Amino acid sequence: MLDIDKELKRGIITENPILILALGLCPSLAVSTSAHNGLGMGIAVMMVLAITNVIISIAQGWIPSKVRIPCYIVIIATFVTILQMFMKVYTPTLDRQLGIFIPLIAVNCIIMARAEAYASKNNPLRSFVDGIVMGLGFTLALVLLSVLREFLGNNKIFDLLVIPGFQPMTVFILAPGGFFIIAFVMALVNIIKSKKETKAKT
Amino acid sequence: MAELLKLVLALTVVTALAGLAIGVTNKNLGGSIAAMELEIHQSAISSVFPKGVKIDEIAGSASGLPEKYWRASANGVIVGYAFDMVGRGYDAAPIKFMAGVAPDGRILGVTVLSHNETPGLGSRVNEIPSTKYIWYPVTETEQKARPWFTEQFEGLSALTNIAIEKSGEWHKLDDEARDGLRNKNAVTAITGSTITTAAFTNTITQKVKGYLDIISLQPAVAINTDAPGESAAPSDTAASVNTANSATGTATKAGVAKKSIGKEIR
Amino acid sequence: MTDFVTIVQISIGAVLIQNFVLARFLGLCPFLGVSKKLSSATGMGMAVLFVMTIASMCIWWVDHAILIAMNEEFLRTIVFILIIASLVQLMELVMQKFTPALYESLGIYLPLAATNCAILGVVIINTGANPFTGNEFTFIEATVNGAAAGVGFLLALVLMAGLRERLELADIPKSMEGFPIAFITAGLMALAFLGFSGLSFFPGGH
Repeated sequence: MLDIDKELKRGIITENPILILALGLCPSLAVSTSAHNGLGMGIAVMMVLAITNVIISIAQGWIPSKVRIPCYIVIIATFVTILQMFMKVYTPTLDRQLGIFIPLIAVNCIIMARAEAYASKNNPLRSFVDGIVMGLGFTLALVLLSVLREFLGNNKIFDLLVIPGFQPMTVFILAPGGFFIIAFVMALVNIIKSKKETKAKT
Repeated sequence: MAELLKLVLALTVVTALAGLAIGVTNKNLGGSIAAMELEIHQSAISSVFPKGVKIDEIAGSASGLPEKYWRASANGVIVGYAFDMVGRGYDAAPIKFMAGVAPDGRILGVTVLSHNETPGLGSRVNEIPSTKYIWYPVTETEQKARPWFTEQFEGLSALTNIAIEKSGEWHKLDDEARDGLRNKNAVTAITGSTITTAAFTNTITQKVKGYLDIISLQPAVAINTDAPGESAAPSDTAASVNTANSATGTATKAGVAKKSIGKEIR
Repeated sequence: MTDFVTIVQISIGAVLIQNFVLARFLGLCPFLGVSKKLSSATGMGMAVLFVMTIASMCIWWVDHAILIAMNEEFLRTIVFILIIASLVQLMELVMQKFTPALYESLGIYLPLAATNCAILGVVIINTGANPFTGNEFTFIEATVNGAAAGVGFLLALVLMAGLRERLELADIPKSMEGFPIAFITAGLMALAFLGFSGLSFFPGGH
């Protein structure tokens, strides 16, 4: 049976794609400069992940295992292309902001990893839920990173000012800041994890 | 052999389905994408002119002029021209924008069409100054829904060099400081994005003067007016476009050579 | 049209100023995954450099001869991915047959290169406008851009591996072990590479 609570916990916390599995790092660092972009990218990835998971789970029966990787690549790239077309029409601003990273969703390791590790072994419904919770975990981690970067680098969160008179540090918007922020967030996750482990032991 | 055939068949079917899916989507959405882009472009043209002017599209057949540009007129008087501009920003992709200038070279308005600048840095060319705080969403002043970066170009001269000041961003300055910038024919840079800022100032100063020189050398082109009876000129745009085409000759070439405009804007 | 100056500009731009890993955030997975040992980092970097250059060349031709000619640019993503994947397979077979020594050293890294977003990234960038001329990339410019991006990737990867080999011996707080310290190192490198943006290579620069 499908346990939604457990699935959610798995996608968001115990197997968080960015912070625990360290998958899909390129977009998470490149587009996390503002919370809007992070949220948009997260939702885009979640949609592709859910749809491709379902399709691959349905198609697994008749795709010979020798050519499964090329087939997965084609399926993923197809939905990324379709998504990009929809974004061009309905969210043109976001499409321009995310730029090259929309087509690059196609080679995002999360999607391939979930297709190979989960969707190809589970039924469509479970695969769909997996796509949604993993996408949710990705989105939340991405929004967390981008909120931190937007606040420190621009003194804003979702384009709203935060602290009057706070002088933002532009470096956090630039490439090095992205690396520093993710390093500290991951270190924090490690601390929490080790605290939990010691608690579990006692 | 049968095994190989099966593999080839599977791949072919998947690829064919994929192509079909993309093709169908493109057929249904392709038109909308093009329409969307056209709409953005059209609204950019009217946004760089004052309200209530009549806008004509003009084909610039002379070398040194863009393929088409737009002319605004009110009551038979030319108010300004709009040109498509392509600046080179920080990243690989160009910054496309629309610049509206009065015949005397005063900038009427600038609107960004597309760019691929770093999010949070160069992408702030489209930023609308925000005075809202996340804690207490109170607007301090009445907000004009316009990006501050392009607004600061209004009223500057496109004929001389536009300087870049790094003292602070325009939307944070008071009126006195803004007047000071106007007198110096200067704009403020987006913090950390001087290259993006320079893409605008350089492109405007490099191109606009040349265009205006060529246009001013042409014999006066009849202007269509909205008021009936007043117009002695041909009443449809096509006719006035033709006039503009035939009028460009040797005079234009001199203007081009003098300004040494290398590339035409696409 | 392609002159020597443009080539130098593209090369320095892609290697130092807009380094694929440290400034554009492309190819981070192999950058962190394969940078623990200098030898494997060199192998991976060379494989990526190789694939990037060949892919840039092939895809430029396909893009111009088929996709642009037939006005089918919307198929770019899927076509590029397929070309890169098949190219990697093909190169693996060719290498195995004709240069077994090279295959020995690069072979295991080639499949990894296929799913490297830096390669798809560079060919997509090649479909845009060249920042130095403002026009489309010519064949030579696209090839140089691909090769230079590969060199940039190799450089970042080798530097990173050199640093991480030394970090092994350092005393690191427990919570910072693994990815966090690697990211801090990458961040410091990116900070250093930020200095190159002062090179006024980009027209309309400082």
